[in-house]
Order: sequence, then structure tokens, then C-alpha cells
Amino acid sequence: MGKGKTRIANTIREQRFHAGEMTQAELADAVGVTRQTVIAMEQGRYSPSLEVAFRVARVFGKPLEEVFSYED
Amino acid sequence: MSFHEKTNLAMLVILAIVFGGYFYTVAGHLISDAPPPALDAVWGSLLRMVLLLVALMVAFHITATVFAPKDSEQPDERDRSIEIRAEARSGVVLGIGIVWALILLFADIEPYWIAHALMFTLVASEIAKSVMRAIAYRVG
Repeated sequence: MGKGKTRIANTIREQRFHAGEMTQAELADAVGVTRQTVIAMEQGRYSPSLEVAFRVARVFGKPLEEVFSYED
Repeated sequence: MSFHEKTNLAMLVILAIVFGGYFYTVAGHLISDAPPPALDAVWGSLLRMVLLLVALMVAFHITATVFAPKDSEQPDERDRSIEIRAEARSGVVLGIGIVWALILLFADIEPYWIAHALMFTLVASEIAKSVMRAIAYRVG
């Protein structure tokens, strides 16, 4: 939620690809955020709340740590 | 660009145009040798500014909602987080402006200038808030 790049990495782009090239808009609708928020998450410009992170992981049917990780 | 980001940029442009014109006129009184107008004479133009601002924002919202109804959703958690940060940072501008107005008050400056210092502070803090939001939407 801070400025610039966050230390929370994610595999959302890859997960969308494996989910039949799910669009950012479809993911945004499924999670309940705007498409711009999905774009910001993918680009590492925004760290979602724990709740949104769980919802993203649930959309892809993956555990949280497969979608989000903390970079040292 | 999200609906909230567009709304923010519209607010910034409208504030700058509406109050930019107004404060340009006020600045004219500052550099002229003539005494400033009585404060009573100012309320009419201030009211007109506020009404114009509200009318332009309403017109923008209606137009944006008509052309992109799906976009005009409730703000999500990122929008809310950006709003909170922008609010906190623009509070600094508001605080400085209020101290400045208090200094003018204790220095026995005419009420016309004190009222405008406060008005300018409110507008400047709103502009600062919009700029903070615009940066946050682009940078993170």
C-alpha cells in the first residue's frame, strides 16, 4: 500500500494465463476490485489487503503462497 | 484510467480554473494601491464560485456515468487507501494555511485578507489532495 514497488511479489499474470487467459477485467469482477487495482497489483505497484489476496488466490483455486510471496 | 482517477483529475482542473480566476482578481487588489473591497461585497462572488464548482462537478459526474456506467462503481480498497494517504498529506497544507491566517489575524490585517487567506488555504489543500491522489494512482 506504500509508494513505488512493493516487496510483495505475485504470479497473477501467470495465473491468469493458466486460467485460460482470464482477462484483468474478469479477475477484477471476480475479486470485487477495479481493473486498475488488478493492473497495479500485477505491476507490483500495490500490495492488496490480506482479504483481497485470499480472494485472488481463491479465484485461481491456488493457495495464497503460490500467488503471493514476500521478497527479501 | 479508473472512474475515481478521472474524477480526481476533473476536480483538479475545475478547482484550478474556477478558483484560479477568482484568486487572480483578488491578487489584483493586493498589488493595487486602492483599499480592498468590503468583506460584505465578497460573499456574492464566493457563493457564485462554490455554486459553479458544484455545478461543474455534477455535470462531469453525470457525463462520465452516462458514457461509462460500469466504471462509476464504489471505490475499492486501493481507492480508499489512496484517499486516506492524500487526506493525511494535504492536512499539512491546511495546517500551515491556518497558522498563516492566525498570524494575519494577530497582525491586525484587514478581514478581507484574512478571509481570503483561509479561502486560499482550503483551495490549496484541496488541490494538494488532488495532486497527491493523482501521483498515487500513477506511482503506487
